[in-house]
Amino acid sequence: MSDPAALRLGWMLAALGLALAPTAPRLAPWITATFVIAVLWRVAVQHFGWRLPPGWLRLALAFGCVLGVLFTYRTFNGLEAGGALLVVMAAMKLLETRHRRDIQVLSFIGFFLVLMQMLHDQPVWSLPWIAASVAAITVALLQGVRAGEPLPWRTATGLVLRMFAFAAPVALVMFLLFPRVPGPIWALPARSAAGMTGLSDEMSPGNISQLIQSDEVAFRVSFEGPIPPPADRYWRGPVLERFDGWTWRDFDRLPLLVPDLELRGQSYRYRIILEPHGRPWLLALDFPGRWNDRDAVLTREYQLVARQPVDSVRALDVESWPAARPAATLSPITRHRSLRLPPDRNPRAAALGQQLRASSASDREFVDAILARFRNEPFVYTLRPPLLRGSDPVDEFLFRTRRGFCEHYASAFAMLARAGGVPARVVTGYQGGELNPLSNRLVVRQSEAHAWVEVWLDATGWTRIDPTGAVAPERIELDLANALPEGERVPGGFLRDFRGLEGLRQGWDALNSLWTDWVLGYGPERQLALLARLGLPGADWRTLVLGLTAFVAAVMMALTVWLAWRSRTSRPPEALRLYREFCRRLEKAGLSRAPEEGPQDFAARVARERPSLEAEAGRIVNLYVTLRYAAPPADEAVLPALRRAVREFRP
Amino acid sequence: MSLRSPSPEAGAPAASRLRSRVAHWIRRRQGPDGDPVALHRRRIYILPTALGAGYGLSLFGMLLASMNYSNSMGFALTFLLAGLGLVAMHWCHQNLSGTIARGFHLRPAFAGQPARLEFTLENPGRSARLDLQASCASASSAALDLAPGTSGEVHVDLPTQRRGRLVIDRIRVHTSFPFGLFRAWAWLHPECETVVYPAPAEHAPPPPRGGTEESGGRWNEHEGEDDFAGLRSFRHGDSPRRVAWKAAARGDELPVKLFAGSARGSVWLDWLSLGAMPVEPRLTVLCRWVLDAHAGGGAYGLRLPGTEIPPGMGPAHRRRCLGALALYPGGMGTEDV
Repeated sequence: MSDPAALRLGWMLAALGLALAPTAPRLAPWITATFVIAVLWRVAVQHFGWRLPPGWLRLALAFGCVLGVLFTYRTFNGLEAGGALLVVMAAMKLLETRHRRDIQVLSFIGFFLVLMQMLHDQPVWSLPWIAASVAAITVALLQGVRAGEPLPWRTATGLVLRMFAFAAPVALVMFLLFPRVPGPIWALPARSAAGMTGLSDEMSPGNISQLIQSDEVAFRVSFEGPIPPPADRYWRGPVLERFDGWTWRDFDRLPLLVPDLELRGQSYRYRIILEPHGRPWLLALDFPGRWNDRDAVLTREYQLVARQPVDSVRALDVESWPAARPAATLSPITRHRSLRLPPDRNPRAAALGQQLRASSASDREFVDAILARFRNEPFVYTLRPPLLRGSDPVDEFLFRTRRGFCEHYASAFAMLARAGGVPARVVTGYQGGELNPLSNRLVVRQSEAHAWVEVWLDATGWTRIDPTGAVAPERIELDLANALPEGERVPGGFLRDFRGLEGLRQGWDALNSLWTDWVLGYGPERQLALLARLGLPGADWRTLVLGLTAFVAAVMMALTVWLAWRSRTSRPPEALRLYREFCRRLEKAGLSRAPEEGPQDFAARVARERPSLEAEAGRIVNLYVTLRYAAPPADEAVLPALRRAVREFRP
Repeated sequence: MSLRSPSPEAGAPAASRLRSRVAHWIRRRQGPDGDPVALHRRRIYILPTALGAGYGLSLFGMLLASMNYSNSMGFALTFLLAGLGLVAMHWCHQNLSGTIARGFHLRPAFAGQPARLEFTLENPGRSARLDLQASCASASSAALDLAPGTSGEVHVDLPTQRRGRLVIDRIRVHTSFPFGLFRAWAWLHPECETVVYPAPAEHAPPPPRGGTEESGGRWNEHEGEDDFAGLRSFRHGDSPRRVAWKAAARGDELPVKLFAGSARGSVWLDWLSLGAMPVEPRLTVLCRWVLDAHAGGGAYGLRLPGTEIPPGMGPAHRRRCLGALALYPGGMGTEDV
C-alpha cells in the first residue's frame, strides 16, 4: 500500500482495531460484526476503487444500527449501550471516511474506545495494551492529518513518543492534583453487580462454596504497624438475620446512631483497597472504630457500608479493635429478630437445639455443646458437599449428609442456637488473607469468603462463634487449602502448588497491589493524604487549582525553552569560526578583510602588506581551505592543526 | 482577491472590514518586510482549529465520564491527552518559528491562468519542520517538509481573472503540524507584483496586412500549408488551431505549426487596425497577435493609443508588449491578492 490515502486509512484501521479488541467480547456480537464489515467494506472501497456508499444508504444503516442498539440494550444510557453506540458510530464513520477530518474524528472515537475499556476494567496487565492503543491512535492521527506524504513509521512513532514524553509529567501532576470530586455527577445506571464477583446479601447452601471457586482478589490491605494473626482476620461483610429455613437474608442496614462499641485492647490501622464488587460492603476488620471515608457508615450490625455500591476501585483507611466489646444490651426488636425461626421447617434441628439447651447449664455451655457436637460427630469440611434439596436443609445436613462448607455449618449453628433460645445471626465476609512479603500487604481473595455466627451471650454481648473452626481448625489458623480433605484443592489456586512460581506470583501480586492502590484507588481521600504529606494539610480545591496551574505553566515554559533550544540555528562549522577568529586578529592588527575577499586573496594581500606574516597566514588559510573545500574531506588531524595555528597566531 | 478601491472599507460587510483592519494593524506592527524574512516568534500567531476545539470538547467529555465513574485510569488518559494537546501547541508554534523565507517572485500570467508565486523557505534549525504551507488569497501551496539545514521551493498558483497589475498584499505561511489541532501562521508582506496579460483571443481575426512599415504590419502572407516552416512545442497562449494534431498523435508533446514569412521584415500590430472592437476583446486579439508574432520569430512593433513600442524581437520585447497590453488604461486596474 504505497498510496498515501490507503496508508493513512491503514494506520487508522489498525489503531481502531487495537483499541476495540479488548472491549469486543463484551459487546453484542452483531455490533462487533458491524464494525468488522464496515472495515472490510472500507478496505474494499480503497483497494478496488469502489465508490463509498451513497448518503441515503449510510443514513439508513446508521438509523438501523441505532435502532439495533436500542433493541439490544433497551437503553442508550450506561456503559454497555454507550459503548455499543460508540462502536457502531465508528463503523458508520468509516463508511464515509474520505478526508483528513474524517480520520481525525475517527481518532477521537478511538480515544473514547480506550476510555470505555478502562471504565470496564483496568488490571495492571492491560496497561501495555492501553498504552499501545493510545500510541497507535496518535500515530494514526499524525499520519492521517499530515498534509504531505505519510511519514516513515519509525519517524512518526518516534515523534509521537517524544511528544508523550513531554505530555507525561503534565499528565502525572494533573492526575495527582486535579481536584477529585467524590461520587457520580449524574446518575447513570450502576454497573450490574451480576457481572462482578463478591458476597451477596443472602446466603443459602452453596452460595459461598461457589464464590470460593474464584481466585480473584476481593481486596488488599496494607497495615500500618502490626498485622493481626490469621485467627483474628475476620473481615466483616453482610450480617444476615432473616432465616426462612433455607436462605439467610439481611434485614435492613440502619446506621448506628449511638456508638455502642466499647473500643479496647489492641487496635489495627490499615487501608483497604477494594476491587469493585457492585455492593456496598466495605469489609472492615472486626470491629471498625474509626475510618476516614465520609461516604461510609457503620450499621447497627457493625458493618461498614458505603452509601453507593462499590463500582470502582475504592480505598479507605480504617482502624479496628478486634477485642472491642459490642453493646451491653440487646433491644427487644433485635432479640425478637435474632430468635425467629420458620415454625414448620427443619423440625429435627429445632428439637435438637431445644434438647441441647435443656441439658446445658448456661447459654455459654449450650454454645459449647453445639460446637462439641460438630467436633465429635463425623462431620466433614468439604468444598463439594452433596446437594441439599429438601425443604429442611438443616435437618438434612445435620443428620444425613454431614458434609458441608462454612455456610452449612454457620447456618446449622445459628439455627440450633435460635432453637435453644439464644439470639444468633449469620455473618458473612472473608476470613484470612495472604501476606505478600514483597508489598507487605494482605491479599484477600474471593476464595477466602467465609461465614460465621454471632450469638448473644449476656456476659459478652454479641460473641463471634466460628463453627467451621470446630470441624476444620486449619481453615481459621492457616487457610482453605490446608483445611480441605485430601484430594480436594482450591480451584484456581494451582499456582500455589509450584514452589518455583511462588515468588513470581507474589511479585506480580505486589505489582498489582501497587497499581491498584496508587493508580486505581487514587481518589479524593488519597489526594488529601498526599497533599498533607507534601506539607499542605487541609488543602482545598483552590490550592489545587493554583498549584496545578503553576505547575502546568512551569512545564510549558520548560517545553518552550527546550523547543527553542532545539530549533536554534545550526552553529557555523568550527573551521569557519577559527577562520573568523583569524580574521578578527588580523583586523586588530590593522588588516581587515574586505567582504568580497576570498581566503586565498586575503592571504595574498596579507603577504603583500605584511611579509612577516606571510608564512603563518598562508599556512592557516591553506588549512582552512583544505578543511572547507577539499574534495575528499580532509583527514581528522587538520582541524586540530588549524585550531593550534590560530591560537598561536599573534599578528 | 479583491479590487483595490480608494477606500477599501466603505460598504464592505463588518467582518471583512474587521479583517482588513487587523491586516493593516499586523502590517504596521511588523514594519516593512525585506527579503529574506525570518519568521520570528513575535510574528507567529497560533489558534486552535475547529478540530482542536473538537478535541478539547472530547477531552471535556472524557473528564466528565471519568468523574462520573470515579475512574482513575480515565483521569489518567484524559490528562495524558490534554498534555499531548499542550505539547502539540508548542510543537506547532515551534515548527514555524525561525523559518526563513526569501526570494519572492511572482510570475506574470495570462488572465484566467494562474500567476505563480514562488519563494524559498529555509530551515536553519536543528530539527525537521514538517507540513509547511503557504497561502495567498484563496490559493495554497503544496505542503513542504524541510530537514534541518535545508530549504525548499514553495509555489502558490494564484488564480487570475482580469488583466492588469497583480500585487501581492500578503502571504500566509502556516502549519498545523502535528495533529491539526492548532494552526500557527505568520504574515509576510513582501514587495512583490507582476502583470496579468490579457487572455489571448482564441478566435483572432487575421492580423493586419501589408509588407511595409507605412502600410501597417503584415506577416504570414499566405496562412496555409504552403508556408509551413516547421514545428515547435506548445506554449501558453497558442491557439489550438495552430496545433499540429497529426504530429501530436505521434508524440507526447503538443507541436505547434510555424509558418514561413515570419522572418520577412517587421510588422506593426496596430490598435487601429481592429476597427470598432470594444477595448477588452481588442486587447485579447492584440495579445494573440503578439504571441503569434513572437512565435513566428520576426520583428514586430505594437501601437496602442498613447503608446508605441518600436519593432523588436526576443522574450524581453514580448514581455514589454504584453505588459503594455496588460496595463492599457481603462482596464481593471490593480488586483490585490
